[in-house]
Amino acid sequence: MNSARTRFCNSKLLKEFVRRFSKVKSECKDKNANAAKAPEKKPKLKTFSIYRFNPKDKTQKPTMKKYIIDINDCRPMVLDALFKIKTEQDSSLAFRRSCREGICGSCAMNIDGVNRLACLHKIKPRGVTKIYPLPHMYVVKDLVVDMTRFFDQYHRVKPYLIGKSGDKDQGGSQYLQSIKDREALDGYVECILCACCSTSCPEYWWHGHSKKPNDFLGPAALLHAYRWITDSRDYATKERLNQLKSYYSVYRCHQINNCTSVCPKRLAPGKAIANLRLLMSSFKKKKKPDMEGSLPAEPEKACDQACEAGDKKK
Amino acid sequence: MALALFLRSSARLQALPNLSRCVQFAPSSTSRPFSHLVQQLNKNPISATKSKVNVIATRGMSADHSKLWPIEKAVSIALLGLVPASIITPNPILDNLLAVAVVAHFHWGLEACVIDYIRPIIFGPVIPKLALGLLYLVSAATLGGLLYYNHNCIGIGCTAF
Ligand code: SF4
Ligand code: SF4
Ligand code: FES
Repeated sequence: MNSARTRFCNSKLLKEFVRRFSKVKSECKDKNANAAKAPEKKPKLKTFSIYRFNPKDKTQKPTMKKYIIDINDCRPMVLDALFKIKTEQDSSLAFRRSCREGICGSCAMNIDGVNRLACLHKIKPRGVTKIYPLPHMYVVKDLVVDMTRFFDQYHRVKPYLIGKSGDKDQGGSQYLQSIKDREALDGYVECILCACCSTSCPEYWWHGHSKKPNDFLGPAALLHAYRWITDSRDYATKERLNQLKSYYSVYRCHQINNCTSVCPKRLAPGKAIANLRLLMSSFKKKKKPDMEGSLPAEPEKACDQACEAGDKKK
Repeated sequence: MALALFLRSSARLQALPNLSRCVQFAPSSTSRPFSHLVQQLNKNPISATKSKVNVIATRGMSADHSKLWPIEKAVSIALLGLVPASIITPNPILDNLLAVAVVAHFHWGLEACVIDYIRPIIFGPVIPKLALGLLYLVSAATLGGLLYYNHNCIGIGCTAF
């Protein structure tokens, strides 16, 4: 055993290996040295002009403040730039964010005149990028706006299933739905409630914040109203439609389709509203559900109970 | 191990025939109208008008706009045919129809403008009401004028030539 080891140590093979390894190592060192020199690359400076406002500070009016950052060491999205500005230059800058991957809907803002999600919009290498809060909303601070009314409108369309009222075990059983009926909801369930659509809608600007029953609900809430109306498991179609019949709730929409063109999830709230109107004036009827009834939430437990009941009967 | 697995899966297999029993379809005979449930949830329906500002901004004709909306659209479409028809074959019936349809169409369009641009949130409770009243006045006067013109002059259709 020992002799075999010595033989291996003295072998040409090992010597060759050691030689090559040391060569690779030295090459690596050279590369590292080069990398250390890299930051001498010319910095790519980019200007952001960002809306600053603190309503609590009564002496200050809203202003646009300019920040210049080097986008060489910044990740590609506008949200990354905001992070960089906040950590390196101005910690008082306020904006909302959470998932930084376009699924939570918190980082909606007006970038270069269009409502978008900051985390999904790439930094343009040239020119000044202007960032404003969502238009026609009350500003809480800087880019953070008050979403109370928006979510209130969402809640008013009752964003949940309303089953048949005789249904005793609501929540204890799962409603049946055919795959086709479920697919009819695609294009509506993906909404992340970012409010890009509602705040780009002129009608929502004019009537979104009016006194309560006379406000326009806005494309986001109406998209959801349609989503629950088309759901084959929902039985409150008539009530839901009746609730929307006023002059303001739906009919203020003039089908300009700003909402559809800005939606970061590529949904079409404008189409949902058009469908709602057809439903409301009975040009269109809700499709009959393919499946009805429900399945126990825990089928195995229910089976056991059924068996026991059967045994007792015997 | 294998035995345990076999035992467990066989227990599940035995339960299988019962699955059909578990699918409980909602018995149709016991299903009651579900509207009372909705009413309960909906304590403040959107159409309810209580506060003062709401009353100011509520318009009698628009409590249920879903009836009027199809009419608005129908008139818009009808105008596409009515305008050429009354120009090509001028006669008093078409002239009167055209007068009514055009005035209604303009009125609804301008009404949307008034509602959109002269709103209580900017102008307070009174001015929007006055503006809307003024619009009704203008529309009524236009209709009256056109009908007068149809009956005491050559009529709208002939004017084109
Ligand atoms: S419809 Fe689109 S833009 Fe509107 S809230 Fe939903 S995801 Fe955002
Ligand atoms: S289509 Fe309707 S909801 Fe969408 S932006 Fe236009 S007015 Fe607003
Ligand atoms: S941070 Fe979640 S959508 Fe942009």
